[in-house]
Amino acid sequence: MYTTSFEELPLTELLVRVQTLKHEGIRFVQLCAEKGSDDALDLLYTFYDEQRDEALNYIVPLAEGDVVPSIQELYFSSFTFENETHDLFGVPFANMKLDFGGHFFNVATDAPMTILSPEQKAARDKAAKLEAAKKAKAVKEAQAAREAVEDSSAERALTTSAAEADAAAVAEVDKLAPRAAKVDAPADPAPAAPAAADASPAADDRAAKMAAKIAAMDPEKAARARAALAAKGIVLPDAADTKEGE
Amino acid sequence: MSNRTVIPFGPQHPVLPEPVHLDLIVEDEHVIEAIPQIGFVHRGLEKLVEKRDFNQFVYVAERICGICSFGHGWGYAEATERMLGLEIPKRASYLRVILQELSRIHSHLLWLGLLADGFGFESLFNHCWRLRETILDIFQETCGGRIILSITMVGGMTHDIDDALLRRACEKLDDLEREYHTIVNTMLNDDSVRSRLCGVGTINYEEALSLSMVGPFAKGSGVTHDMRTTGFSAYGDLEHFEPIVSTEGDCYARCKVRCEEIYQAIAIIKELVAKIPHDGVGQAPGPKVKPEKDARAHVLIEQPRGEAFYYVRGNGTKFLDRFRLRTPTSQNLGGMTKALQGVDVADVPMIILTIDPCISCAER
Amino acid sequence: MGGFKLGKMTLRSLISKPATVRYPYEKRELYPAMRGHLVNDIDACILCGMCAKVCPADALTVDRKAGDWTINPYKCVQCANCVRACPKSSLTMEREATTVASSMSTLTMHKDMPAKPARPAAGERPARKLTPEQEAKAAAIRAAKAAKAAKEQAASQQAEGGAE
Repeated sequence: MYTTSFEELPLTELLVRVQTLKHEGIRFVQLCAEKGSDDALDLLYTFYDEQRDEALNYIVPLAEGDVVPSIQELYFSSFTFENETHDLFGVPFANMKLDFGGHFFNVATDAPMTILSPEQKAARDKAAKLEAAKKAKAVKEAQAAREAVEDSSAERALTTSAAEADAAAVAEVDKLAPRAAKVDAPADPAPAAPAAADASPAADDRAAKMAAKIAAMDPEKAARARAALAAKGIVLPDAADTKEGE
Repeated sequence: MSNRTVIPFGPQHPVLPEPVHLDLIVEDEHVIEAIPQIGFVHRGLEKLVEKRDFNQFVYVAERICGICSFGHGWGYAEATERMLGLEIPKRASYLRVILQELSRIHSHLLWLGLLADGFGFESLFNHCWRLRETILDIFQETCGGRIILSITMVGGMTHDIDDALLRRACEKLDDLEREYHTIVNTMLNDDSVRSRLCGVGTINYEEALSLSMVGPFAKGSGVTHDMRTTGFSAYGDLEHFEPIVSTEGDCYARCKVRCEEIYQAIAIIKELVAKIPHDGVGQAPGPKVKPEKDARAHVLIEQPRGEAFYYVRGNGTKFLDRFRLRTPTSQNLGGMTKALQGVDVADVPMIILTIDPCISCAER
Repeated sequence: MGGFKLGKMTLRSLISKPATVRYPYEKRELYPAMRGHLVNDIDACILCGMCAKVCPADALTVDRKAGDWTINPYKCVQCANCVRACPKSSLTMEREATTVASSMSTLTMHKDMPAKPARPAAGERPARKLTPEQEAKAAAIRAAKAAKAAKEQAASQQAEGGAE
């Protein structure tokens, strides 16, 4: 049983690779052009290594206006495929040994009908819609996860003081890496803070919500909460000040 | 002074089975060069893969050619199965190989008749095609169609061929072998046939390799390449397989290679029918199975005329992006133009017929 | 005349029966596996249209509302894809090929499909019967919801009380 392999090959390396293959005595199988659904042309060269029973495929992506070097000097039988690719796909080849100038493959029209059939268009639209829906769902889930984390950290900010939060974080880190606990102590507020500080688009909403909650709490508790938040670098709008001022 | 003229050969010519145009540059009855042109039977079948989903396309692939029809269906189905990662039961592989070998016998008998007709040996032409009817009867009894079998599908075979039918097919092949023996000896030992075919259109071993020729065309020149030696599909279960080669490189050698391949094919069929397993013939992939985006696969199979290459590429929907078929004839066109250099004009039909051109495959 | 090698075969074929049959006066025995033309058992057919969807030659048209199943036998390639796709197995392939005619025509079979029953309005819809497990699950969900609502109400009440 033979094995197959597909490999990408840039256009600049094509001639060198084919020369190497010819030197090793590897047989040429075919050359064809293909158009992906994003309308980019690729060339597919296939060679067959009889010693190892291996089929080698090289995919050469083409850009607009690329001129492909011809391999007819090395493998003469490729003239069929190069002329056919030139006639049917419009790919220009340079230095062809046997060049029919566009008259090898006599067809009636210049370009094929590239109109998509309704079923094919429907199938492609459906696949595109599924991809978009999947992406949107992934984005939404990430957003929801982030908001959940922020909410929990905000709750923690209101219910525990800065010292308690530090202690809890230290305990967490100790659980993971006991020896590094002393060194990591200054960095402990870091895990809690970035989660809250990252929410730049919703930060203002969060701040406003927190302000409302604090305004509804005991003044002492409120002051402590404010201190904790100030330690983290979050400054609230002065809703409580106005209330205290009443 | 010799002067050169250009004789247009084809697309309509009594010896050509399919239309191909050759411009023969002739100088005093000797052909200096032959320039081919194709495109007369181009139906754009590779493009049709965008309009028929990958299950329906098997029926289109089968209709690419009327002689190697089963092979095209098989090659496309196997390439798609590889792309989708489907495994087919062993019995399906065995049946596919048996039908492909029957297809090879039928193709070579057809070719032998055409070659005889090219000589004017019409009685042999009719006898060969009468023997070919035995094979077509086998096809009709087992699969339901004479040439377009429609028994291959992506995932296996559409229905099973039971062992009784296979054994009856083997008996018919025995009768065929006896009659064929007489015919082939007549053909190969006849003096007039030898004088027209020996030493004509010689291609030696190095040229055959440098022109990347395939199939019996190359085997006549000593190239032993045959995809069946790699043991793909059920060929790996054969006791012993060796490609038939000849070293002379002329038309007679190619003729002999094809005639002997028929005996080999009958032997392969009998061996496989004797040891065919009974594990089902596969099923269609459900409606949810679709090729992934940029999934690629290819297979190489041995058609009667040589090695054929089938490549499929998916794009995430049930329509494929690309189906590429490279047939042995399009690979051999270079060899054909080389073989035609320096021969007499009267030998041109013989050489073209010994190449066994299947232009409708080459142009799809 | 050396080499009259086909002599035996030629002489034999002078005496024996010809290999061909005199069609249309004699017809060959057709094999059971042959695919000739498509036949639909319209009583079993439910006009679902699967056959028209899988046909590679676009030979079938199915109109459920009008109750028509149409085949163009001259477009049909006898691949039997529809026979395998039919969910009710109403399609079969007969052995004889489509007969020669002087003009192409399509064949339509008609079946009056019963109209789909209309959906009753919301109020009149009978309540769905649930299995015991489903009932238990529904009850658990309702209880959890009630508990959550009560907790939230208590929390907001406490907050209000604290702010006073």
